[in-house]
Amino acid sequence: MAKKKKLGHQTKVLVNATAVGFVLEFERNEVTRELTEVTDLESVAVENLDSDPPDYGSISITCAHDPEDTGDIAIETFYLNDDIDEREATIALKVPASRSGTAPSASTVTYTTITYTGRITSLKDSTVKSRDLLTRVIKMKLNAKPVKS
Amino acid sequence: MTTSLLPIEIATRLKLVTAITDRVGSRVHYQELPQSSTYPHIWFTRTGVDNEPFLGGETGITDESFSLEIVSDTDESTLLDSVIETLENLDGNVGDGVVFMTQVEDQSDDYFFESDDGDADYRHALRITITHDGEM
Repeated sequence: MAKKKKLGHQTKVLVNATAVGFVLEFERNEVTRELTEVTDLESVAVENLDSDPPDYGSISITCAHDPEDTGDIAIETFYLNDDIDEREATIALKVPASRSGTAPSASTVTYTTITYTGRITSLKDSTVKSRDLLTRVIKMKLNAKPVKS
Repeated sequence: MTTSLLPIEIATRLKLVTAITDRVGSRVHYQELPQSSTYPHIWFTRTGVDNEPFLGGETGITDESFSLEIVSDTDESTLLDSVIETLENLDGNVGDGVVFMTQVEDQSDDYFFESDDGDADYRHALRITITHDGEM
């Protein structure tokens, strides 16, 4: 049986194939289907059917933000592009799948990659406070089923 | 002994200030208190390190805390002011890392002094928190 205990530690994130460092959290999507009530006179309980296609929901990434960082600037430029065809985004989440190696050597991590495609819907920069890290939240609405590889 | 560069940085910066060395000379001690040391002296130790790593494993913003004592046989208000001012201005590049800010506060009244012999007439303790990028 596959091991189910996994930590988020050492998860990697790529936006449009470019690695994004200093990620604080990655909020994954919720897949839902609309329900249609189909109760009829012979039903003994309220009946619902779930519809197609499913809604793959949204994801969001919270990461450290530096206004001078070229990677951060690239994401902004991408999102603010006037050409709608240029704004289909890809975000990849590399989740640690297994570790090999024996201490005292550091372990080698192999990853499972989950690729999300969709439209970035917002870039929200954090409030600036003296003792808080400057962060940015990138939200993306998914247009397709995430692909695992 | 910590591998952090900050204890060396703190001692170095204090010893560059004339108003401080006029009173303590080279008696700025980290962790160990030499038996031959005389008053006034400055003694400090690292009391904690706090950082939360990023998702990918990178070191997060790090808070390093220090406790610093000034012990003497006479009033050292001027020395205290110089120490506070010097440490509050501790920021910028240290080794491969960057110090963002240093906060200096008084320790609480129930603080237990470690570097005095019980006979000192003047004692003052500071709590120092240095916030840096975790790269040093």
